[in-house]
Amino acid sequence: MGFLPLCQLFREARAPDHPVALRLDPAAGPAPRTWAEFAAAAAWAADGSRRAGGRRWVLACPDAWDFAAGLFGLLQAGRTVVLPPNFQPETLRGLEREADGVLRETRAGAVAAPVPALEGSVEFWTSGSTGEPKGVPRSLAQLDAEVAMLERTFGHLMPDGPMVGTVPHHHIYGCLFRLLWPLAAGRPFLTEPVGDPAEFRRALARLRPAAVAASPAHLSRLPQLLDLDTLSGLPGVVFSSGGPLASADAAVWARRVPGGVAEVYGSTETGGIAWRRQEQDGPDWTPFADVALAFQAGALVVTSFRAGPEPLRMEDAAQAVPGGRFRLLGRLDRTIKLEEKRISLPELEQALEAHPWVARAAVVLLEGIRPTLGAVAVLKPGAPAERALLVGTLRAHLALRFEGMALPKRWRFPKELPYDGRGKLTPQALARLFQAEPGRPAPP
Amino acid sequence: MVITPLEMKQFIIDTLGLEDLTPEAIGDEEPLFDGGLGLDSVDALELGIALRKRFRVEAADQDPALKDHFRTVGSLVAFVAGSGQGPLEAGT
Repeated sequence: MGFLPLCQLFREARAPDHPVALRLDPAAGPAPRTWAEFAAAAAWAADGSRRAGGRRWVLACPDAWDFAAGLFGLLQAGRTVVLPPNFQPETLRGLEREADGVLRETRAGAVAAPVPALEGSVEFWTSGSTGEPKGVPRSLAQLDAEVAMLERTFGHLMPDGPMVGTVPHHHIYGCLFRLLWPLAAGRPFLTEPVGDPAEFRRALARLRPAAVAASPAHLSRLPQLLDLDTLSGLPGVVFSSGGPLASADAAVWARRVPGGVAEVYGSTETGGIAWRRQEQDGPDWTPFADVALAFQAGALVVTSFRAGPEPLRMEDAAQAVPGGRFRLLGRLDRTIKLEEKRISLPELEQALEAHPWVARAAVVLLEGIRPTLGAVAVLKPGAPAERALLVGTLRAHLALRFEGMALPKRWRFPKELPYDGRGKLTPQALARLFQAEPGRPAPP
Repeated sequence: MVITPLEMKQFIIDTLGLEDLTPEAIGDEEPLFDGGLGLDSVDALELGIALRKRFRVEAADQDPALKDHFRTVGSLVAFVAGSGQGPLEAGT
């Protein structure tokens, strides 16, 4: 094993047969996949990118092995790597328009030459709070600082073994925990995500992972589908990020896992800010050692090399508690987290209003056993009157750019948006529209 | 336990709160996920939990993944019919 900074990975190199990645289904190919294969795949991507030229390249790899090797291949070629928020067709088309090339896979067979220390940057594209998607730049140095901090903070909780995760590899949390941190730490990573309960059980039993990178969406539901006491190969620690984990859900896992459940609070813009283990330490968060925090008007302001040159204001209300820790109190703006996916309500509304049938649109988070999105659209003349056609078409229109979780599940088509007397549109007024039956769309 | 495709479609609609769907609008062999219905991976877990409670089927102990059983209404109906009714396990 041995920890290597990401920038040095290809300069120092691992032994050619060092295991880099594992596959859940051994029938899919020999396991493990070695450093020699990984370096060759990265070299293949680097060669291709160099031949094609350009500065910015989109990394459109739904496969985690291709994503990881492709990422380093593009960095080797000196490219800025554009990481899409999802792989929906219009998302990729939009990013490719602003880039010079796209990498969709890697191949074997290239010859990996020695590589000097790497530098460069990636851009994580994510929902912006104003409605337009935005690219969040992260330098390789910042990513290195991140994985070093993770190893320093949590390494002692992790036995030997591979890294496994239920979360997607192309968002910052999965990218760090499922790919970059294991690569730096010399631990193999499992290529496939294991959100499916049968795959989760099989992965644990076969691989006996050091850790699982999971999310509240899975940690709250897997125990209702699997008897955890019958699982073999439970990890040394379970990580959770993307949203608050209910203490009851944390407890279910923490009592069966020696290192407990370590939650990480952070964002694409700041990286990880703080962590907690509820079973051991209660609900309050401990900042990572390289983070300085301030509190302005009830919001958290973060200063850290990993957060960039300027102090960043977080989207959550927070208050300081004794001992240098803090408590989170709820979100401040209209970017919500739904099942750990960041969703910009303004971005959805703008996408709806771009459709020729829609005059005005508003999207609201509907609370309940399972929070869901409700879309309210005021229709233009010429829009059809049939509800099924309306809903089907508008959902398909949104699906070009947004993935499953972000698609509204409930729809209303009133004559006008429910502004109050002062001309404000409140979430409560929008939510009230959903208390009654759908009814017929109001004629424009 | 035998359940008709129609009953299964209504079960899916009720469990997931799919307001705008009628059973008639869901084909027996239409892909439930990655397709027109736009169900996501968390919907799959929700459905699995509801099936376990209602029909006492254990999806997570079989070798094929949940998503294979849940591919279509047809495969779900077959899965529920084929599974034994074991005792309901405590969740946690």
